[in-house]
Amino acid sequence: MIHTPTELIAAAQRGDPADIERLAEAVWPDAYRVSRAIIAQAQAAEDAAQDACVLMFRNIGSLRNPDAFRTWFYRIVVREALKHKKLQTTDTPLDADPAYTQDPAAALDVWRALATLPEHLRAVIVLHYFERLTSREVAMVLRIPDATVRFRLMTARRRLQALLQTHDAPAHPKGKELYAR
Amino acid sequence: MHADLLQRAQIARENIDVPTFPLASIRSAVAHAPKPTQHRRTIIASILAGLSIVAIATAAEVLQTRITFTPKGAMVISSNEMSPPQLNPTEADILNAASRLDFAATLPSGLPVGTTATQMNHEGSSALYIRYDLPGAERRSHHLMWIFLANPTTISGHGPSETYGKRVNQVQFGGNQDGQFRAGSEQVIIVSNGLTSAEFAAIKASMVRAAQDGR
Repeated sequence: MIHTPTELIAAAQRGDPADIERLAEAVWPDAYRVSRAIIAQAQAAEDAAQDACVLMFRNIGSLRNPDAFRTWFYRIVVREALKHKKLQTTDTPLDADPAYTQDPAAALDVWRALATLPEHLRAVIVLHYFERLTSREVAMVLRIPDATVRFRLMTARRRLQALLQTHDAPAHPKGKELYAR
Repeated sequence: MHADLLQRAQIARENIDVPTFPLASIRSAVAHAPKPTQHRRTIIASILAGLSIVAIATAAEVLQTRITFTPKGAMVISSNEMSPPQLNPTEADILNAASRLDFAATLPSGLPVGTTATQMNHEGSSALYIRYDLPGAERRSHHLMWIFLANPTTISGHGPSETYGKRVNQVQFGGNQDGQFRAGSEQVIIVSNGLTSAEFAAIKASMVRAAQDGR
């Protein structure tokens, strides 16, 4: 959730490399987390986040309204993440990645479920549920209508619901269910 | 479902280990990235450009070098600045070609002992690729390896853009891409049928280390 002070953005816009570096460092964790959630492969996510920071570095001066920084930067990150994802010929299996296996079970299920979604649904889920952007903000980031975002969220939620319920379901019936048979 | 998913997503998000901010790599990439295209023009400049057909044609020729990947994983290099291949390049030739690239190139290293460079091509100033002959009779006919050193900005998931009539050269490398990685501000792509995964890992480790050391 990018919450960068406007003063830092305004200072970076004046073009001093030290200020831009401070801004890049402040947004780096969010850039990496979004990339990671979209790509699911650590090295590619790091490359994508790094490219997003480089683009931010070079283009921050062209941003007219500092208040729009949040959506502007997320747009760069998502675009770079999707670009890097296309370059991945094979996705790293989630279980092979230590960052995922360390997660609690609930988080692990989310990653597995998320990995099954197509890119356009994954992007809206990541921005809305991971980064807590409103559907209107997601629409601004992805440059699609708000109604399309809400439709994609609904579609993605349905798919995730089915997958997460499957994960949550007990392997064997217990208690009353067992005796009821 | 909404609240549950939100909670799960937040747990998952917080559990992502964020790597250290790569300040040195970002500085290097910024220093070597091509200048961004000027989008905002004055009205007079726009009118002058609009009046000149030559200016329009020049502006339209946007593609210089681009690396794309087909759905089956084959790599396609498109360029309007393709150079003739140089056979049997020496280390000095490779160093000289690398110095003309528009990014900080890290030369191939960590190659299996006995590997020899047999050909070198450079596509404009954004990509350089070298064909190597790998040693060892056990590789039989799979003894060739290509190493591509490219400016990451040339790599795109999409097809090449129109160049409005100007000839675009394309070279395609079959779908046996061993892997790619970032070494500093350069994207390295290795294509070979004969390279083992251990040899690939050795090359990657050596080049990444060299990039970090600024070699």
